[in-house]
Amino acid sequence: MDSTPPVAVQVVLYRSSRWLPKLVRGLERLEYPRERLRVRMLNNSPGDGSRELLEALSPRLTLEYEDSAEGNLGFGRAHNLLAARAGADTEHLLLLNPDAIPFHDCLLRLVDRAARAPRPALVEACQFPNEHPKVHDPATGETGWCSAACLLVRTDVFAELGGFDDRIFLYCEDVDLSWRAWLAGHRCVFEPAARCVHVTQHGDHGKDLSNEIYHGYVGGLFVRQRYFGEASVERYTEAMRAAAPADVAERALRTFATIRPRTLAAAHPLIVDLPDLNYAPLRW
Amino acid sequence: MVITTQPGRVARLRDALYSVAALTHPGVCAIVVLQSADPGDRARVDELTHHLCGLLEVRVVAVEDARGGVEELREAGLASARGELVCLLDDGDVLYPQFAAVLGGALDADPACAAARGACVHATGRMEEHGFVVETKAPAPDGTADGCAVLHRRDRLHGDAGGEVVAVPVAVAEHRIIAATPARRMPLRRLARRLRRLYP
Repeated sequence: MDSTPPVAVQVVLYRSSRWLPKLVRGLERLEYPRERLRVRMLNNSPGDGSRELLEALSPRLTLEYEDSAEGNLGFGRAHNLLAARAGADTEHLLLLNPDAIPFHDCLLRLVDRAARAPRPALVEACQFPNEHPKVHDPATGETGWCSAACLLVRTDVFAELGGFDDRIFLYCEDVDLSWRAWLAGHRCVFEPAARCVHVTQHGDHGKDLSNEIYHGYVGGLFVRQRYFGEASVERYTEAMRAAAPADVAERALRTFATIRPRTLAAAHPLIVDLPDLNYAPLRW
Repeated sequence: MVITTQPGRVARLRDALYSVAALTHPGVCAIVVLQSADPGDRARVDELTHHLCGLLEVRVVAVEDARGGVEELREAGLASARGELVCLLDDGDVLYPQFAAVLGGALDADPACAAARGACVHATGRMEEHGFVVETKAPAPDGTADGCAVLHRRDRLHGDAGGEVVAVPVAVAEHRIIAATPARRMPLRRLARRLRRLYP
């Protein structure tokens, strides 16, 4: 296999203009052959100045930008649209959050890890400086699920899985994609040598996070129902009600009722139903 | 941001510099104080500077014979600093993205304050081939001891200018400590089996 296969970087924007200058400069510094790298951005909040800012930044790389024609599509659906734009020769998709800055060697290390046997379908970069605390196998890198903040996905596997489940608007779609990948016989790994700055919401002080929390609960209910069934949803609901303001919890339950998936019968040792709000055991 | 290094630890500087590059506060630059005449160290710093071009302005100050220890290194860095605010780091420190914006905002709000202090987290781990793997994180023992979590007004650092230090613990700096021995972690599948036994 070619050591530098074609990669499509895809970024879903939503009121993200403040992050764009560093994101673009970080993408420009990626050590990767330019002719094998294409960046696509889809803006879920057209008119927020991102288009004009990108033009002013004059990125020194191949970048296609488009505004969503249907308002805010949500994270997964927007990524599915971008993935559909990738050509047949695109071996990998690099899903990247707008508030991310990949280290200069991040993509090379992800691609290198993706090529090593047994080949994983999903390779998650190490978030920096606040590394995601979920566990991974230190020898193999195997992890229960991969965060989509900076995630390399084999294009053929993304298509085989049908992409993200677009019933999930925001959060947990990556948990769901990873678990469907495991159930389909693919592997999900964490690559600590590939680093990517991620300004997580936990570092974004002063921001009202109630909407993000609401979407997180809806996604959490969705994956509990799909993989573990009613008893798990009941446990999750109890934990959610204990942690969240009552109006947020009830709103999440109402939305969940409209997208409730059927429960899968399959099981996998890395798909673990935890008694709290997490999707994997944490290291700290 | 004045970052002092020790000979042979330039590899750790990568994380410190990327953390400074990612700060949301505008107009940040890094001054790397290199305590080494080793051309290899200088070449590695220059390579990092190249990779960060467009993201962060990096200036390098070389000190050939720092008999005064870290204080001498920091003074050399401060002599090169031009901004209103400074933070004194070493090559094992990383700042969280909002660190300078939060502490800078606190200093803007109170001109009497000479410095603003965030929270310092100690992260222990082991060095692998390509970098640092964090194993555990915990608040610093007394929560205040580490200078890396302090943003100073540069004109109040010396002499008897004095002034209050305001505490803003949501601004986080991480001090990374290399463990003498590799940490032991449980393979994921064994952990999953144990969890299934605990939570059938």
